Amino acid sequence: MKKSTILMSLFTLLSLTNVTAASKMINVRDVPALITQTYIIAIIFVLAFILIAVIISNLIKFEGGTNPKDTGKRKMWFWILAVIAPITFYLYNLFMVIPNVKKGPALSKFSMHPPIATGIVLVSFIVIGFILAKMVKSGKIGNWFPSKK
Amino acid sequence: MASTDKYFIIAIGGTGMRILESFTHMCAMGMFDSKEINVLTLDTDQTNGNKQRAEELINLYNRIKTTPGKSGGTPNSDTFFSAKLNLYEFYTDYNNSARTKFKNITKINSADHDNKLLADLFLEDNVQEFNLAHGYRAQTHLGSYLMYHAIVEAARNLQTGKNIKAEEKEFGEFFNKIFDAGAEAKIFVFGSIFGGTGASSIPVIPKALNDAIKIRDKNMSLHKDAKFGATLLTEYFSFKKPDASQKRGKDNSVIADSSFFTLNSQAALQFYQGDPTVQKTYKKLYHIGWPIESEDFSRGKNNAKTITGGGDQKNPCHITELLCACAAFDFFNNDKGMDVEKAEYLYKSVHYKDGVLDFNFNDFIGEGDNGKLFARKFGAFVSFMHLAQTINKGADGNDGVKGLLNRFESQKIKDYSSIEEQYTQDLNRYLEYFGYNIDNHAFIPGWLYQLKSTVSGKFILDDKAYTRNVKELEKLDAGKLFSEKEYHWKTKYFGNSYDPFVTTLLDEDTKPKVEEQKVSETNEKFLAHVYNAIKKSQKI
Repeated sequence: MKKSTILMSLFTLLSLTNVTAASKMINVRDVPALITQTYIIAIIFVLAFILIAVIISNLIKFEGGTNPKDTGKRKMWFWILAVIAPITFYLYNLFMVIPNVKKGPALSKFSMHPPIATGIVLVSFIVIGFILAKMVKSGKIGNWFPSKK
Repeated sequence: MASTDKYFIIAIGGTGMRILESFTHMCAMGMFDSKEINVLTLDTDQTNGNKQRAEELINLYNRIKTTPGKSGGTPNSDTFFSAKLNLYEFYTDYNNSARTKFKNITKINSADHDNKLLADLFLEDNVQEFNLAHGYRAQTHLGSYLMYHAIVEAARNLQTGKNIKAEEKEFGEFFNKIFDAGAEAKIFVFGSIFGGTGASSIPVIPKALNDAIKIRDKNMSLHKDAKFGATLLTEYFSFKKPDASQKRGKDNSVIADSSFFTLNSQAALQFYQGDPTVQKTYKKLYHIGWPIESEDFSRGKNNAKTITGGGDQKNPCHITELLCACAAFDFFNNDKGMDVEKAEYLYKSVHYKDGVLDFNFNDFIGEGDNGKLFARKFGAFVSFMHLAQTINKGADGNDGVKGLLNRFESQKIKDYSSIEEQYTQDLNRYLEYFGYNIDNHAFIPGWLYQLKSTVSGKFILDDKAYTRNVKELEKLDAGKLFSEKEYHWKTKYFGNSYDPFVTTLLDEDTKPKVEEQKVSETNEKFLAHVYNAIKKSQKI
């Protein structure tokens, strides 16, 4: 619960930053800084969603029986978040960042980067997830990826 | 307890076999760590249901312990199934038509005047005539004579080497082991003193074994420092009284009548107190009795006749039998009083109020460290049973042990991947015998629940741990079996203790310790791993 609260605060902070930014439109001179900020936010998104995936996996209890469903549930949630993370990031850029960029050279200079950063979010989420799953393979997050038979 | 001691159990008659069941379950709990125990089942009734059940249980135990190239496995330490059991079977041959009754065996006839008179002096005509295939039917004066005779006869056959029967060969191996053990032999006898076969055999066993060894080789004998112990178990069950019609034929002219069991017990106790041979040959005799109403074995059954023996004699287990098995624990682990010239009589009492007996974990093998040891081992095995039978649905016909193994697999622990299905099925079957199973929505009680049904008060664990209600069982928490909250396993959020238990199971420090626990094979390591996780969880 504590972790979820921290996460919510982080999103609120990000939104406020952009609201402040929205008060004055971003021109072509500020675009390089915005591009850097976009990639940093992408990394924050990846870490935040990985954290959510870890929390959800740990909340799913080990089940008994010859055919327990808990491992499948953890795997399913990991891939759901793998899809949600880039979509959320892209929508965030689409509705919260791009409207604040001045149309013309500034927008055309910036417009390439949200899709690239979105791709990075997707790939990074999966790669970090894979590394974590292999690092703690006997733990609950080890269920994110299947093991060799 | 000297580390070089060699352990022997002789289980005699139907009651002896049920005590052996309790003893085997204690071995499965890990109460006899690092011990190798030779077990002889001795009966007159080869087909006796209780004998078959006890032997099947030990065979199952040994299949679970078997490792590649080592049938029955090896002794382990601080784990489940830690003792190695070597089973030997001997039964007297009363099924052959020439040996069905006293008159046939002794070949006494009217021409043999003196012997006939002597037999008639001690044995009534119907006692000489009844069929012995179902045991001595509470005729201990006849039984002692015939059991001694059977043992000596087996030794003679082994000596001549002609027509040796399989059971005689096994008996020969058993008493050779006792001879080889010399002064280090500790022999404990299980049986009742109020019934037939056990009551007949307990007084003569030490002498019969000694004479059997002498027959094999006149220069050999039982070592003078070999130690014998036994339980003096008085009446604790009853059964349907035989009616006149059942006793009409000569074969059934004598049938044990449980209404005389109190009298039999009283007479037997007088004998054990006064007989110099018994007092000299036994070091410790454990008094075990049941002060409240006897368990009626005929209740709920629609038998037209009294069951005298055979496959139908498959009586449920009783807590007194566990107490007898605990007496063996004391005898094997406590050297105090072993140097006495005359048998020591031992007893202990439990809490009794308003006709209700309460048993806590200090009432079985002693208080203090022993009480804690019993609580830990008993609680751990009951939890293991519930993990497999209840939580992993073994009782519903699934492979509950396989469920635990699958958990290791799904958490990428491949150490037990080579365990075969036959092993998991055998372990499931054992846990059914120990705990319970569900057949066609009906609860079938195993040893644990049979024992609980004989105790109206507390039986070690919380009463909720013994529920037979299927819906309550679905919600049962294997980590909350004790009434004492300090022994509960930890829980997480609002759930039960299974999730934290699996996390503990996956901890590095619960992995089996090869040297310390003496586990080198995969099946031994699996049991040690589960045991370590339960032990860590229960904090006893």
